[in-house]
Amino acid sequence: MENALKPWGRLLLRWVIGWLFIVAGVLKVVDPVAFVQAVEGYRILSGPAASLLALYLPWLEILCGAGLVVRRFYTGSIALLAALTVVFIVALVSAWARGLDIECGCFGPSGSVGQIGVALFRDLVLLAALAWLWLEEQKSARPV
Amino acid sequence: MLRLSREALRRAACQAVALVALAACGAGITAWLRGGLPQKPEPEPQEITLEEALREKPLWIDARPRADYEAEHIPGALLLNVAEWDAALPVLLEKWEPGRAVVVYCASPAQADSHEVASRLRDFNLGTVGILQGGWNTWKTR
Repeated sequence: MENALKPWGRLLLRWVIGWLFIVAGVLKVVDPVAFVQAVEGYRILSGPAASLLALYLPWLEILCGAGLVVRRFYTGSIALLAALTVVFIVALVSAWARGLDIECGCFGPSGSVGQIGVALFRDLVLLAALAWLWLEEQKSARPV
Repeated sequence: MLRLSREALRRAACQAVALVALAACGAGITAWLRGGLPQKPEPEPQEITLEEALREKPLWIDARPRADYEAEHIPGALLLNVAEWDAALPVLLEKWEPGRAVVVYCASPAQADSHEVASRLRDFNLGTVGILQGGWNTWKTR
């Protein structure tokens, strides 16, 4: 029974995470100025570096999200999304440790000030889910 | 414990490199469509108190008419009003140093001269541009 449900769970997880990153990326692509402000809010990058990141990161999210949904470039997408999520977690923890009251910027200009804790929890769950997808993929690819 | 095969890692790395390159293409297209990198907009000029302004050791801008400026002004202040904008602006741009705050004052903020000058200065990316609360009277009665 457990084994019968597993493929469906994997499919559901792939779609949820994939679309989550696609939506997050599209919201940033359509309003890059707001995302630059969110990036600079972390006080880690500023000026052209923040602008370049604001231009680049959303596309990486969209492409990796699509990779998960359509199951193309699949393991590469999982690896990149996991790496991105780790970077997001480090940035959020750093902002939290410095007492910054900022928008996480995860889904464009949401106005969700003071939501670092929620974003951090979401990213940890995402990271665990991506790790599970990676391990499942490796298991299924192993010769029996 | 599941061991990761070298082949699986190599495949994931190749795919990741391809995705990174594709994302760079997407970013390039966005930059091309936008005509450059997205820039954080300069903040709206905000009124600041005299105490806050003094802490910044700012470049003072006197937005009052020349006669008022010549009669008396904050030491070191430069004259830059709307009427003499074109002539006075190069002097300001020459004197301003990156990182130094700019604070504009006029006879009274109700006259809106300081707001107009501060608003125009936003186009020159001078960083923080403030407006002295209460204007010249605040300085005079400090």
